[in-house]
Amino acid sequence: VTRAPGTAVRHAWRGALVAALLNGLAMPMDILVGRGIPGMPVWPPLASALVGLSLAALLLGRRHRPTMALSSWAFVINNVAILATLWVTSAAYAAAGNWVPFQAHKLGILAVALLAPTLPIGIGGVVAYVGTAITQYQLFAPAVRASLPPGQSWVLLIYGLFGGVLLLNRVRELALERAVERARTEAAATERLARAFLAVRDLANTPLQTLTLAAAALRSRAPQLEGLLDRMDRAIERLRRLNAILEPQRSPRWDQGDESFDPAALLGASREARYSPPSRPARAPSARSPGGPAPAPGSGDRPSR
Amino acid sequence: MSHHRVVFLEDDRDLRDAFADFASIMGSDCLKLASYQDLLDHRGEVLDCDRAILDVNLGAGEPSGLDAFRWLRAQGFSGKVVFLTGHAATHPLVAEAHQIGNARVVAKPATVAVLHSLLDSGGEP
Repeated sequence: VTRAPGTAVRHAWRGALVAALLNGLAMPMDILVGRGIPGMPVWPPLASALVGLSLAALLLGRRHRPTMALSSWAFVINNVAILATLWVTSAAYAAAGNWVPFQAHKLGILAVALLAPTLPIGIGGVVAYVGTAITQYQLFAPAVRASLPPGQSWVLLIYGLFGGVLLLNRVRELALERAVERARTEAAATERLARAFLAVRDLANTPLQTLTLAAAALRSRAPQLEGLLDRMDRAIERLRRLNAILEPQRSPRWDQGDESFDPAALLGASREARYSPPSRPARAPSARSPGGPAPAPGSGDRPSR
Repeated sequence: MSHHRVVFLEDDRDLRDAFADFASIMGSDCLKLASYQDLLDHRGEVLDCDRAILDVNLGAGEPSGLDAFRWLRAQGFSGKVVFLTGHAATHPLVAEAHQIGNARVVAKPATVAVLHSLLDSGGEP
């Protein structure tokens, strides 16, 4: 029996995949953008794209068995590759002049906020993008720094702040979504349990009725068995009370076709559904209309007085 | 103790037999029927009876005790009718049975006293 991955794992996997694909497909474009820049190396964007595509292939290969660890590591490795590439290419862009600084870092901050698999990784990612950009900015030669628009560190910090807020908001929404999914799953399980309890009751009630009547008949025909029949009556009474306990507090939902059902089949369906995703239990066929074909031979003997 | 002729429509054979035995001890005659079709097949005997005890669920995919009730009334059966059911009161068929004004609904397992009252007074509460 396999369990479907939870919402958090699915989100983490999807976020890591999108991030890897963005890296794999967008980095080669950086080669085109920077082809006229003197000293701009080609290998860092290519290497980063290769890392992104490899991670995307790995994630796609594990799409039916995603894990939080795999998605988290893929996301981190992908961003390390991007940051390393940006470190090299930003230096070349800055040296060439006429550069709007750290645009890729700013995009990276927003991408991390929207795609990070977990809050700690998201915060780490935002800090890494802001931190490496500010550090690199501070390490630029004074002449290079003078050629760039002023206040870049502040701009990056503001981006980092926005990224952090976006990240927190997204994590909160995901938590709400998970809570809703959990509540839905619990409601489905409760519904199944209520139906199973009802089925147990339905299965038990007729034999209990038979025992009640048989005991009454015996009491009439064999009064000398009174002590034995008293014990039997007490046992039936206890079963009757158990039956009352099994009545669910809240009635399950009854749908079209539930009017006449087979409790044993329903119990079997409940057992099978225990490890399956939430779904409606199997239902017996709808009641045949009185004008329909003759019923199949039942458990009964022929009518008699 | 009064003598009655009772239709007992129930898909469980053991319960049918046990009830017939009980009815006999109570001095009543019991016509045991296993299905809606049996009811139709024994129309004459059924209409000779003066009360009917009908199981609500007569098996998956089968016409219910409510169908039997409607048929009885359509045939002019004027005796007392009681529904006997193992289902919860919220079950759609049981809820529908409760809506029927001139029939009583009794939950299984009914006590001997309740069953006695069904045969003795014809299901009056």
